[in-house]
Amino acid sequence: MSTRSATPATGRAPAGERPLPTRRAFLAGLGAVGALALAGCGARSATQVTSGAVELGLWTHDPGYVTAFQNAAASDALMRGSAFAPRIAPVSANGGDLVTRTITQAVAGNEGPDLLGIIISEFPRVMKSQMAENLFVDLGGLVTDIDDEVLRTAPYTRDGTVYALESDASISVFFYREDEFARLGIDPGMETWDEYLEAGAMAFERTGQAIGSVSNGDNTSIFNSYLQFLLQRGGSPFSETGELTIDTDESVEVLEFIRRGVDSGSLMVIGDPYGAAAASALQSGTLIATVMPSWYNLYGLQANAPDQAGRWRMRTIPRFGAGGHIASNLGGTGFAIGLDSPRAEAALDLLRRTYLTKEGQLLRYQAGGYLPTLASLYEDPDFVGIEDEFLGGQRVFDVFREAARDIPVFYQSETMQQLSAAMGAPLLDVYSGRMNAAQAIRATTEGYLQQTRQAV
Amino acid sequence: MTRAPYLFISPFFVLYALFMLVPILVGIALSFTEWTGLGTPVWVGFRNYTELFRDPSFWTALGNTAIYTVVTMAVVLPLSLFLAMAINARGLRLRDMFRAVFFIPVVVSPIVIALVFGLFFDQQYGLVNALLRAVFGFGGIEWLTSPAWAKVVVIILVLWRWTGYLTIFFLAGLQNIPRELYEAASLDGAGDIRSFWHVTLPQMKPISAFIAVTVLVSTAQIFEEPFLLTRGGPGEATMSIAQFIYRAGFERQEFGYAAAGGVVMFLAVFVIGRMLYTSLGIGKAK
Amino acid sequence: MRRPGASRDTSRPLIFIALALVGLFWLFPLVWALFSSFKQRSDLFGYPPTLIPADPTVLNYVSLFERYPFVSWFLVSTVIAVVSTVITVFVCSLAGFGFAKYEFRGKRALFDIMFSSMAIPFAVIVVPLFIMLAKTGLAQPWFALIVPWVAPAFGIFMMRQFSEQAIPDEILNAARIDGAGEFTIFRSIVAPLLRPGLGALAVWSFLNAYNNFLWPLIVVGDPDMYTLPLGLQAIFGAEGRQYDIVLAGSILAAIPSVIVFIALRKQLIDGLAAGAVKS
Repeated sequence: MSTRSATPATGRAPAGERPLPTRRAFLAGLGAVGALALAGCGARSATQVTSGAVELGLWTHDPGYVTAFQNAAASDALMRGSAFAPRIAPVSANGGDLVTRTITQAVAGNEGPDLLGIIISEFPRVMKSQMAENLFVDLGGLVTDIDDEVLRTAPYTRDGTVYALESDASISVFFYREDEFARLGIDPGMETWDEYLEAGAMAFERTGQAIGSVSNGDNTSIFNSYLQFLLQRGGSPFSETGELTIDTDESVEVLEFIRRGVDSGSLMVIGDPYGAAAASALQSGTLIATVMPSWYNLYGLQANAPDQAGRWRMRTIPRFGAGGHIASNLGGTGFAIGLDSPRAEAALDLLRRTYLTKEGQLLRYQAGGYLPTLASLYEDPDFVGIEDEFLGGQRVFDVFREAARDIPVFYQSETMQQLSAAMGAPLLDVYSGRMNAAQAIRATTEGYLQQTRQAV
Repeated sequence: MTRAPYLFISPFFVLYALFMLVPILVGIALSFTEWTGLGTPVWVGFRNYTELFRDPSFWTALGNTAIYTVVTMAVVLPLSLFLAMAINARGLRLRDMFRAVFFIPVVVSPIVIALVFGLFFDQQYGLVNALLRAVFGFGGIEWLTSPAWAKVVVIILVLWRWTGYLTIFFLAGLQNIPRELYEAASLDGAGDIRSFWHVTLPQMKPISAFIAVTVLVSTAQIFEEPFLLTRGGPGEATMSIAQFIYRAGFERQEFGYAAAGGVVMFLAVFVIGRMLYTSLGIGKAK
Repeated sequence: MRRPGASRDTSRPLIFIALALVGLFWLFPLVWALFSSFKQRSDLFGYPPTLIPADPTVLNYVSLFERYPFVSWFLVSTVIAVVSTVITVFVCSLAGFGFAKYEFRGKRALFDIMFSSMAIPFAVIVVPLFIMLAKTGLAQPWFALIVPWVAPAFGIFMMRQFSEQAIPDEILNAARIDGAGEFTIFRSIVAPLLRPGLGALAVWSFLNAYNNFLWPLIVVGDPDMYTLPLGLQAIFGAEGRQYDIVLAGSILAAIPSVIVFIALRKQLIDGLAAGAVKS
């Protein structure tokens, strides 16, 4: 078994000190299990590439990131002073499969990703027992040294260490059809959800239209529609230390809100908010407003209802009467760097330039509409001036700036999957009125304890 | 003479030992550990098994799988037989085309099948509810979001995908029935129904038994249909045992627990399959 | 060919009509997929749903080829399926023949072991198998996608049944008297007689290999080695659910399997008829 010479030894990320005999430990482990005597192994010796041309394997579910990194690598301004001349070799698969494959390739001792885009909801999988630590480079150094505030590092943090940088602030806003609102006499400037639920009920009564949606698709989609409102209301499913915190006033309020909204027709129930039913709802003009992250503009509205260009607008989310935020989050993709990669230093260099500089964030926005993750850029003239044609020429950063100041913090836990599995069915019962908020929370808590096998 | 048969069967047994037997042994070993997929597996004795039997999700998945299996045996099998008989009718035109039509669902990628069925059965915008609305004036069935209906859709999908495939087996069986038997029955004054009971069914018994066991074994392992259609939802209402294992391993990084589920599943399928094999008298080496 | 039907000639038109109706119902989802692959994305989800594209376009097919290495996926899938099929047919007919036509010590036990492996769920062995291949450096796509799967018990069982019926002992004995070796007998006498059975097994094996998804997902890391199901899943998993392109890809992906089925359908049925009926 050959030993790897080095983990990336960047000044900021003291990854080189970490003892990491993953493969050896694994073999020993198998031996302990007494299963197999395995000869030979696919380990490769990895000498760090320290300069020059380098091909970086970029694993992502979203072609937009490929474009973003390719543009970044090709930009002279951005790469000025870099020791590397990177080229991007993309690998695409869906989000869950990428993580599965990263793990299996690590076990196999094959080349894993240099840069890996992890969908936020997949990150909990690597939060278990030091997996992130064994797979990815510690990016803590990158973010603490920077003067600026980097948004959304909390969801990709495990035991205080950041393992991925968010690509898109994924700030949720309220998208609405200006024409339909005018026709129905709904004031797009109203402050609170209470007012909107009332207006929505009226709209539903008159025309069957809805001013928002929740999902009844798979458990993750269902849970996400709750999560987005919960975060806005100031709640969080888990505490920073990973304890379940859904039995709170905020959670009760959100569930009651969802129940009221669905019951009155203000919120329509849609299977896959990015899929077929949502497309039909948008096209037929049934869904005339929705709370969705910034990227929904491109991937939801423009993709499915291109002929509605100019008729949509956006604003910050109406407040909950009892408190919370005017913004929320849903989705997002963090980029991590493969710990085993002989090109980790080059990857780190490219990631830093693309993700933590103004120029990089501008490129990224142009490539796929990814919102800046550096707080200061929301005040930057180059962003502030951006107008969105689909949104009728609206200056979108007027809204994003306001929202970015008020983004909720969100912690994940390694048992996130268990929670969404436990909560799917109770949430459906809330939609249909079969359960009230308290019952749903009780059912979820019970289910969660069973899913995590803590129930006695 | 004595060495030849061993040589002939040896490629199979070498491959079998390497790629089946060894993984099974490793799987059994893993089932006694806790392991995320990386690092060292930790020995935990029988804990995975005791937790498994206390895990309501496991029982739900087991129940769902039992439902799929029973319904498939009770509905899909007879249907395939009748379809085969229809296609086998003497002098039927376009016989070849019919065979192909019913078989084709098997060759199409499961991804697109799940996609198309998902669209058809959407509650608000799906074609099925739209048709129901047009014909009966009622079309609000929660196909994919009510626990009972979602199972129905999974079963419809299984039915659609596999009926034609099984029909091919039955067709093969029907072709082996000597025509004289029907002629003799007909001379005795037997009608269609009687010759079905007295000629077709008894003659079809061996192949039906074989198909039944094959179907049992493969339905017990059902994964693609519910996974792609509903991801096992709503809640866990359509989750199968195979998906339970997949979820433990590939969504929660609990490979030891997944392996324990796999071992239990293997034992169950093996024992039931074995019992059926023996009671139906198939697969015996002479 | 004998066509013993339970029904009389008088009911034939009825059967034909019934079959045609059920057949239309059966084909509908696929016809819908075919037509929809020529729809604009915004036309795909219109309500009420329509079958015929309002404004037909080949753009979905064009983007499939322009934006994705579809040809490469196609080739990898086809080559793997063909190679697997050829080896499977060889291994299975050899072993099936061995079990059918020879008496040897331990036959009973070996047959039982072989037969039992039909009951082993894929999910049970997938992780251990992968670890094993990985640790021995064999987790390379060409090897891992083909070799572990070329000895399916079902295939051997089928070939044993077929051999028992299709190969008279007299022919074998006559050949032995002529001094032919056992493998020569297999190659020149047995194999031709087994042809229908081989066809059936080939169809079965090709479909299995061609549509396999979970295993390639775990084994294949290199995008140059993507199979069709992996590629299609990657398109579908990308942001924004590209239903339109996935539909086009799936239509094209189905072509080889349909061709294999149509080309070998007679052998499939005859092979199964002989292989699976008697025990």
